[in-house]
Amino acid sequence: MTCMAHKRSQNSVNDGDKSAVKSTIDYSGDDFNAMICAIAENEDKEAFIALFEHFAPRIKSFLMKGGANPELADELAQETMLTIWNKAERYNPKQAAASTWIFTIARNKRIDSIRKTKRYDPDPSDPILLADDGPSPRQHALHKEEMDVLAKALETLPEEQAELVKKSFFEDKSHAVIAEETGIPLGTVKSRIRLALERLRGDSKVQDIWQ
Amino acid sequence: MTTEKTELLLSGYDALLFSYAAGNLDEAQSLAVATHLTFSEKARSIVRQCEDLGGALIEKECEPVSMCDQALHNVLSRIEKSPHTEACAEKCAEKHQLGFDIPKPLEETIAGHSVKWTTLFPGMKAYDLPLNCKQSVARFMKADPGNVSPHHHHGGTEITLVLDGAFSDEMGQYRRGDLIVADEECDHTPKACPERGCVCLVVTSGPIKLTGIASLLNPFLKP
Repeated sequence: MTCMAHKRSQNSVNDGDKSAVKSTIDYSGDDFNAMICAIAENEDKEAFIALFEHFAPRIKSFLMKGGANPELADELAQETMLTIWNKAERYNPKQAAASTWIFTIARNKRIDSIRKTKRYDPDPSDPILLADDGPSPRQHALHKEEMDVLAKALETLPEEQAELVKKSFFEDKSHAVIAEETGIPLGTVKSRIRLALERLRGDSKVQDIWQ
Repeated sequence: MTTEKTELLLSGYDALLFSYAAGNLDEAQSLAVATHLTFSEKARSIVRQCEDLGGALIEKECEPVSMCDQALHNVLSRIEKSPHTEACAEKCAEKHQLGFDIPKPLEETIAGHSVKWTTLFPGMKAYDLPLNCKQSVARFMKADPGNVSPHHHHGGTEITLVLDGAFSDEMGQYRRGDLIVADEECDHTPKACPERGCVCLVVTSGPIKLTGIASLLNPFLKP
């Protein structure tokens, strides 16, 4: 269910009182999910500015870790924020926390503009996807608090695993390149990634989030 | 199947989905994963978990770096100009030529192209997808019922995604939607389903080497 779908179902109950929705947001707080939904529902600029203040400097930092110079990182962080505004309606709080969704947009900017390759995504309206009867996606939204739990769990990973996770996300290095640079056999790189995921899935607090 | 080989297969699979989430794959590999994700909710949930790690890392590990003075102003002024809803490009669903349904990412790739099969050796045809990817080659491989591929091992990584029919090798049986990652340590002899044969998307990064007498075919395989 996206923000807009959520809004429509709310409308049927309270007749679409926009100010009522708006007044529930604390712009100085960290309910980023609600801020993205407020953009989708009300084109809420105040919410957008609050998101910008929090995320743009982090996105810039993320892109600089990948080797982008400050000017390029600034420009791409701006692009990312613009995309957040434009695509807010597609945001689904049950699919992803705000920071996760924003990460995927920043990541895609990096792929387009720095790596310059094409990336493919599954189409959510694909009949093959809709016919899939696998386990259903999680039924609750992920908030900032849950992401903090995840970040804590990441800190408990053995150094050798944590380092690989960060190299992949920040430095945009393939496992083959990491293997070459570090001298760790490719199979070991991959099994460390798997061990890291297994370990996180085994963490009881993370299980509540990833159930 | 030995535990060691199972572990190898599982870590190859997890590492591939992880790399997709982290944004480290080349075009051909990303196409194979996106196509597989269309088939498998389980795979989609693994990617979601990995993307959550990306979100947590942005939040916790990325020390904020000040934006330039006009950044917010710039973005706000671009917002004024751009309509806030995006027009969804209407994709014309072209009826593809393969005779079975394929996921959208793949359909998009071959739309407007005619799939012309080349015979690699008796019972095995191939078609190279028109991608602009230097690191990997993506091709459809079509095996006649019961066809056995030459025994080969992998210099790089080979991703095989079953699109139609089924095949089996020393390690197991694979059906439509299944994705298998084979690495340099793997060597195997795939055999297509005796009744239906098999069509796969195969993405190869780095050289594949045939072993035994079939190695005479090596000059004909690329990359």
